[in-house]
Amino acid sequence: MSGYLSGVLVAYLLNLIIAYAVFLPGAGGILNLGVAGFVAIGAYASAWLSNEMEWPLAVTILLSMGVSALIGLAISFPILRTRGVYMVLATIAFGEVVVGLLINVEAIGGAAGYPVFEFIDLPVIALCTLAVVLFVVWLMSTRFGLALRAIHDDEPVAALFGVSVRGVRVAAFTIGAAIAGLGGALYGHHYAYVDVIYFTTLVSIYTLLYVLIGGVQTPWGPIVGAAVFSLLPELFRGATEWRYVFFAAVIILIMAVRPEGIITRALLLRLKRRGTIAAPTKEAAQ
Amino acid sequence: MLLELDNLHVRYGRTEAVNGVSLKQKEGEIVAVLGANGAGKSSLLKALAGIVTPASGTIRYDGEDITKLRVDQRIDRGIVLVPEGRRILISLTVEENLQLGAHQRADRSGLNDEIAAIYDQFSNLKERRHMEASCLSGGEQQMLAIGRAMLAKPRLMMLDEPSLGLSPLLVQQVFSLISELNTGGLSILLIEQNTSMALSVANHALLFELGRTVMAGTAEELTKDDVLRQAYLGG
Repeated sequence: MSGYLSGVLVAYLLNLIIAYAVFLPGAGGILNLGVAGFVAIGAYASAWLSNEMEWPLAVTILLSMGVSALIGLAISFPILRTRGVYMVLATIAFGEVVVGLLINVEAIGGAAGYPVFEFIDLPVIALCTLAVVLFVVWLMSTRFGLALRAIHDDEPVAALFGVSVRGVRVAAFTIGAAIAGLGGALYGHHYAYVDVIYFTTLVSIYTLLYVLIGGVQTPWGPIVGAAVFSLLPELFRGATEWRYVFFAAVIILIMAVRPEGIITRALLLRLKRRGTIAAPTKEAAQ
Repeated sequence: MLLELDNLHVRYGRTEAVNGVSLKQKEGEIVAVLGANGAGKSSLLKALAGIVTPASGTIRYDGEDITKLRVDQRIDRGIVLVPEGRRILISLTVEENLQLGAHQRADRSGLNDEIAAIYDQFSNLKERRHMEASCLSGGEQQMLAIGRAMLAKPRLMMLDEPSLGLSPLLVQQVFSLISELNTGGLSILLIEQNTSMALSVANHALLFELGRTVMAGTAEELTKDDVLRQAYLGG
């Protein structure tokens, strides 16, 4: 595989992992625009543990996910008290606070950035991505996943049938934080260098866009959404300075044609029915 | 007594929605709470389901004081609410809506058989089991809402305005389903603006006005009452 191709692929896979960190709470109606903060926590935590403690990567990565999850758990309580645009602001504020704190810690390089010595390459990143995808797909098929989607649809009714709305939302946010931590840890070890400028709110906004473009209704959405954002600009590379104009036009077109995202549940159900001829279609049933 | 309310009050801020209601319901009975919009009927059911906390008064269920229990603890005891307007989750499939009804159940054996039994009864739901519930008609949605509540294994089912927005034919169907469930041993607490339909299935009924019971008795007594006939049954 050429260096260019593997470079694009790694970027896509890392984006995809982080997209799932946003997707999971998003499936329950929580907008997390502070995901870059969790990515930063994971990146710095694993980098520091492997540089200074010299622990094996498997341990530092798991610990960095744990740190990110714990911080996610702690801030989920105040953040989940807010609604709508206030939740967006609260999560953005969290991301900015994380960056603001990290830049002032000299032990991890401060504003100069922090070199990471242990290297992780494409195969490990691909395996981790696969694990995240399978985990989220499985989680969404469980009773927890159903409860999460029920909360997204109609919170009072979910509560009416015994769903612990707060518990499910806190869990989704916390698991999302752990996944973001994983993405950050892999990021640091792959690029061998972390710097707070890589973890700005813009990263969070882009990640939310992957999820929204892909579709928040099914766990397959982020795969497509992240691909659109990570791979499409590469296809337009030949168009030099016009490529972001083309890219923006495509994004606007997608949002106009499929406001619920590219991959919707209705689409998947239609595809599934096409496979089983005996099952009546919506049109035939009416 | 299955259900015993004693001097129940529900307040929203300074507004008194339920103003000292007492009620007794035996196991296997249908009790109807009648009254106009804003009489406090829905608030009563919300207090019984555990969604709102009563300001004062007690709720006893099967001899136990459940006034302070959470929603899930009440579901465990078999108290299940079918909310006003059906509140089907439209982006979930028909089957997922049914599964949500069983969310709180610890004993999940036989769940698939129970879902199959609901499909046997409502073939329209079966045909659309893997479609988004938004494709259902109003009547089908009401059947789904009741089916969903059945999967919580209720002993006392509370229905908030089940006839709302349905055609007369569908109202008939919903009420014959309610009678059928009751014949199967389910106790039902019913809120209705469709007074004549409600009285036709109920054993006992209460008439609510501004959060108070202004009339109570057997369904027969209330059907014959002149005041009620003029105000709610159109002469």
